[in-house]
Amino acid sequence: MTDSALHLRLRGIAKSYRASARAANVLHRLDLDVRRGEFLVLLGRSGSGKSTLLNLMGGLDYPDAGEVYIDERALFAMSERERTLLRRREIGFVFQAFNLVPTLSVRENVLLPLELNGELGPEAESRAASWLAAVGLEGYGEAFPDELSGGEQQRVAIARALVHGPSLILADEPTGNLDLSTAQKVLDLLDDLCRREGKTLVMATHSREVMGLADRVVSLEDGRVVETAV
Amino acid sequence: MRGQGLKRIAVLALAMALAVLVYVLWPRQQPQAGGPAFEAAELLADEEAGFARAVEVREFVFPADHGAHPDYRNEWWYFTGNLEDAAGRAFGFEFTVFRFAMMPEPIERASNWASRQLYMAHFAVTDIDGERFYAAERFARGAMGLAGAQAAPFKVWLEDWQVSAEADEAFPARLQAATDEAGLDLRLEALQPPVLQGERGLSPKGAGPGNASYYFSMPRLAAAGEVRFGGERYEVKGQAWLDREWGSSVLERGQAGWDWFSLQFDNGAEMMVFQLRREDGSTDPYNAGMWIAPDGSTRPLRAQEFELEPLATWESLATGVEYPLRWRLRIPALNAELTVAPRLENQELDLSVRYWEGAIEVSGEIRNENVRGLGYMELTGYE
Amino acid sequence: MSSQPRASLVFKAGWRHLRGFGLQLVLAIVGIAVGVAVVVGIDLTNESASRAFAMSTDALMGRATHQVVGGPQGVPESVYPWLRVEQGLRDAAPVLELSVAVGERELTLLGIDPFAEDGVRGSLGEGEFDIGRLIAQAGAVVLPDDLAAELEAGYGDRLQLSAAGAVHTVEVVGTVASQPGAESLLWADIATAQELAGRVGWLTRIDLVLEPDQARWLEAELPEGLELIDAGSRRQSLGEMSRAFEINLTALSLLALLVGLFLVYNTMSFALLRRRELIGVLRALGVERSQLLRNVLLEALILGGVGTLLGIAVGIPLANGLLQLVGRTLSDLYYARSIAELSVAPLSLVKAVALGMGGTLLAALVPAYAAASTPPRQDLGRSALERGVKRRLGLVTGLGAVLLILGALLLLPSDALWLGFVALFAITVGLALLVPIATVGFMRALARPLGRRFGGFGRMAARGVVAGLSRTGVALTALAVAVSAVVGMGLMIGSFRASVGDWLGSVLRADYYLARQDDAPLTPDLIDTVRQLPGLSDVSLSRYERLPQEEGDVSLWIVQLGEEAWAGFQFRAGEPNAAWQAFQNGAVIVTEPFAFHHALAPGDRLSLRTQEGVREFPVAGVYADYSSDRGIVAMAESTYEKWFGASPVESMGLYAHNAARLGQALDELKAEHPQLQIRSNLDLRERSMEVFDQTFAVTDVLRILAALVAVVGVFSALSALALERAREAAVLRALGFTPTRLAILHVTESGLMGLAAGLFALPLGIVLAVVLIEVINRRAFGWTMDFALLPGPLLDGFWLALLSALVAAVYPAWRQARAVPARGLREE
Repeated sequence: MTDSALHLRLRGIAKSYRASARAANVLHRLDLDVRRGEFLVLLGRSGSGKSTLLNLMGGLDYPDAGEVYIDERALFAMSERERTLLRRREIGFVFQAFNLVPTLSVRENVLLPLELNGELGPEAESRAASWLAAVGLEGYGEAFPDELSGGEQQRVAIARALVHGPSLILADEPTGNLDLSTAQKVLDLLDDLCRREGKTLVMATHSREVMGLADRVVSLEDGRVVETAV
Repeated sequence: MRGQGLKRIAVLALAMALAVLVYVLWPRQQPQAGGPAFEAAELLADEEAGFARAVEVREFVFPADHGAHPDYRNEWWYFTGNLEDAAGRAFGFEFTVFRFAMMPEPIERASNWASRQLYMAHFAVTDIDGERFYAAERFARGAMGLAGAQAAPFKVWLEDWQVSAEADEAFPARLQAATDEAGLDLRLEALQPPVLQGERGLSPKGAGPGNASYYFSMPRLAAAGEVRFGGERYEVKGQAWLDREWGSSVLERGQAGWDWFSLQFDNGAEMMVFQLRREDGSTDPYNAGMWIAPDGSTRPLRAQEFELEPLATWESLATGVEYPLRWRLRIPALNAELTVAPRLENQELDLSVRYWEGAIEVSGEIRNENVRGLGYMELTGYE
Repeated sequence: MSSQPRASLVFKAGWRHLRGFGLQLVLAIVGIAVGVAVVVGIDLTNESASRAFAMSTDALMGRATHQVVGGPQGVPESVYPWLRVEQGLRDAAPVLELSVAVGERELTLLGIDPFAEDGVRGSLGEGEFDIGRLIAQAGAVVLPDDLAAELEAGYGDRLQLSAAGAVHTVEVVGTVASQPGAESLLWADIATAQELAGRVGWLTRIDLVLEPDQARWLEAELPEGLELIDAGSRRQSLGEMSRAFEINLTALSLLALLVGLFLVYNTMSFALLRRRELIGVLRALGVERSQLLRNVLLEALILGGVGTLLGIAVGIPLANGLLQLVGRTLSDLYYARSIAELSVAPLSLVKAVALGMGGTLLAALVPAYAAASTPPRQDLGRSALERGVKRRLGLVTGLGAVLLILGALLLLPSDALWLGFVALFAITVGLALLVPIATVGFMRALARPLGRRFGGFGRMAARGVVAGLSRTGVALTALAVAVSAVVGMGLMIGSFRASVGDWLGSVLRADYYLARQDDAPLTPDLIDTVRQLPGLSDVSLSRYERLPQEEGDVSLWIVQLGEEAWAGFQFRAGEPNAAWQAFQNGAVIVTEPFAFHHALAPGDRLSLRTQEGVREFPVAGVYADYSSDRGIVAMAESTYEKWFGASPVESMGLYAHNAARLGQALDELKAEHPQLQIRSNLDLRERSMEVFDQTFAVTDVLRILAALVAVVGVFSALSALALERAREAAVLRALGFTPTRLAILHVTESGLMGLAAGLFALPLGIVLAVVLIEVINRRAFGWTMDFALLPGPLLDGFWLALLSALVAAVYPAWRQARAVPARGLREE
């Protein structure tokens, strides 16, 4: 970890998708800075490019132009493998559709990032267990994802995103598939955990309820970032 | 509308599959097996070199000359006749055995099947009143007893079709030929001795030396026996004619075919005339004939002494060939003018050789006397 | 247009869905096409082979209803004019049949009377030849067009023809249209044939077309020593010659059908599985079930139609290729005729269309019905689906068990070959249906050790196979069945080969075998010379002969042998010592297939037509022999001489007391008589095994084809699965899986499938081999062979399964690893 206050720096990011004949510019020479430990909310309508931006931050998609710096390391100057390794260690993802691995049990889903980072054995097991406890799912370890409710699944996903100690959490509409009260609980949990651990949290959403928790809110309009008052 | 299009594609795919099926399943003509695999013309069209040739007048010796003359390329025994049953129902018949030598020299081979002689036989009967005509053909080699001709005792045969002497003399003889469709079983008795045609039996057919045949006829044979059509049998009597000819030549260049007539008059006279038709329509100098008076005396007829004029033609339904079936025959030297007419039009033999050969009737005047008679006519080379 | 658009849009939604996955569409069509192509290929080969036999028979026999045959010498030629001239039987055609060769090309020369062919055989058909020369000229022959082209011979050309141990110069006097089934025939006049064969005075037979009353009459009238036989039964026996091959190929065709059906089902159910969400949405929108069903079936019809057409288009050339292989084997071993012509049998194509269209429809119907029956908006997630699969798994397993039991029951003693096939089919399908449950068990068992060794990664691979069972189960089963066929065939052939090897070792006792290269008889002088050779202890003399009988030719082996040679016979029934005594006193011994086909056992009597009419010979024993599937009757030379006349010797077995000296003496003899063929024991054994291997060469190719179909199936399944799991892959990438690791995960999964298929294929293959050996071969040919559990075919099968699964996984895994993760995440 560097001491720099800036955790994430996006410069000149452009991305368009070729849908049928005409190309749609989703992101238009976008610049954005995120400070370490900041809770940033990305606001925008459906199709405004929030998910694309998050995917770019995590190196899951490639920009047409521009660069993403994580702790001043240029993400797209790296090889695919380096990028993957960086993601593996420093980034945690939470998706709208939970996206747990269906063939692994809840415990195994949480263990997976640890295992990918080469952490095996009793210590890893206990960390996974404690994270499961942290999200309130003690005793659900041997269940399979499809045996859980949506809220429970998303809590597993949060545990999985945080278990290996990433410094950056990217959450894409984490409450989009949940009812209002469950959504609030999941949000609180996420906020709580990130703040407690000092994580940087970037969350894409279209719901304004989140805004109260965020340090900073930006909107995506016509492919550009507009600062929005909290 | 798009959906309609897609449905059309589905229908099209189905139709294509169906079309392939239909194409594959459609019954196809199999190559026909059977039918004569060769043409009799092939039997005749060989090299002439090396064969014995009819060059000069020779002595005819009987019974030896009733048998085969194997060194000549072709030879035939040609029986034709008009018959009638007790009720007056009229029939005609033809029974011919052809011999072809394939090689000029006798061959020496181990197998008993080996032979240089091929035989072909034609058998035809005409039911004049019933307007039926039937013809059949057979081939066999002159070996293994399958076909042959011998002088003493006289016998010429192809399998079970045969003419064989009853006793030592060639005639009386028995003629037997039958298929499932028709049959003929006749006793033939010679009413006249052999008549030598042409110049003492040498009958020239063209200008080249040896373009001739040895030719004699038995112009009147009494015939009695049975004619059968399918299961119907008729006991018949009548008169027949035998032509015997052998040589090594065929038609010369420019000769298209021939028309041949054998006539047996009620008054006991007979006549044979033939003309070689030239492709350009002119009279061939080798046309010839023979007048046999009731007393048996003979008078050869030269080409310029008679004139054959076709009067009417008939077109075969089966083959589309047009044959002149009615003729006028003028012989000024005999002061004769005769009309020849078929007793039945359809007497065409559509065999490996296609020709018309059938029973005819003749009427007219000879030497100011009205004459009537029956006979046979052969028309070849019409296309 | 008012009501249509709704139906159209529903169809369009489905169709575009399908079309959106271009690869999927291609694979669906390829899957159907490959299945259809293999079935068409094998089926047409089969049909063509049997049609070629029928046509060869027709070319040889034409319309003949009866044949006059005689003793070993044949029919005296004088019988023919007696029949034709004296008896007036005009539908009679004489034949003298003769094996000849022009260079390396083995041919059959038919000596005929060209004038007698009409109405009986019409042998010469259409063409141009000089009939005069054919009959009159010594050594004149007529060739079919194709053969003339092959030999580059035309009218007037001369050929060197070896016949009856001598080389003759013959002249081509014409060519005729080639007739199917008569490609290796050439014609000559009877006279020429007699002279070439050195059989002046004799005919092989006379073919006749007779009415029943004529036949009865003729039977009574025929001269002594001749017999009138019914051509129908003879035709049948000629047909039996090809049965061995048909059976082999039929088994393979059934297999291909099975694999093809799997493939079609596989692709179709996939295409639908991928669409379950769409179907749910459409149902939610109020689309009726029947309408959905109709549209899906319409799609299936289009796919099936295109696939079937493609399959037929590929199958026909495939059949052509196979036919070349089969034809060579057939003409090498069974019958000196080649099959050049592919005949496109309508029935085969009907079968293909039924498989392609019907199979696709049927395959689509089950999943389409299931999908359409789902209540709208029921959770369409994976777990519900997998639960459904688990329910079906029980059903499938139950059905498999029932089929297995049924198949086992059908194996109860019976001689019916078709029952054997039904049993084989039932057992194969039954075992195949057990593959999915076995896979589940296997993977569960494997998950723990894999997890211990490789952690969640290993567990994921093992569980991934089970989880994907709804997609991979069918492919896995197809792979297992194909591999088990490879194993079963391999074991059967291996066992067969081992039995033949044993048998050769036991029966080939002599140190050297001597014969003329052209199989002509050995002269008495030569035999005497050989008897005087130094180092020789004993000789055996023998000759093969075909005895024409009512129910077909009987192969007679006339032997004069010592006790040493006798000891080489492996008796399956009868006591060897007693049989030896009986054999020398006029009894015969028969081979196992012969005993089987004629239902003979020691103590029974065998009727053979001899020179002196029909005689009964006691059967003293049944011995093992794999040289002829129709069977052989062995008879002592003394017995033969008594009933059939003198027997020329064609081959000699030489027993040495000093092998080195004898070998040297034989080298000298060979130098003096170059036409002799002298083979050592080892040499002959090797040559025999070569012939054996050649016979089964065609099954090798077909085995490879079956495996190929399975690979395509697995490939198609994995490609579809990869599409399906795009999001899962993206999540894994987001969690930090490198592309390589992801690819390895998927290849590992596929490898596990291959491992499972390979392991399950082994017992399945062994069962198939046992059924083939104990039931099919025994019922078809009467051969007993010892089952040998050879490691070779087992290992081959195992590796084949594993490797094909790994190979099939490479492309889909590579594609998936390369995909941009964000794209996978976007796909909801």
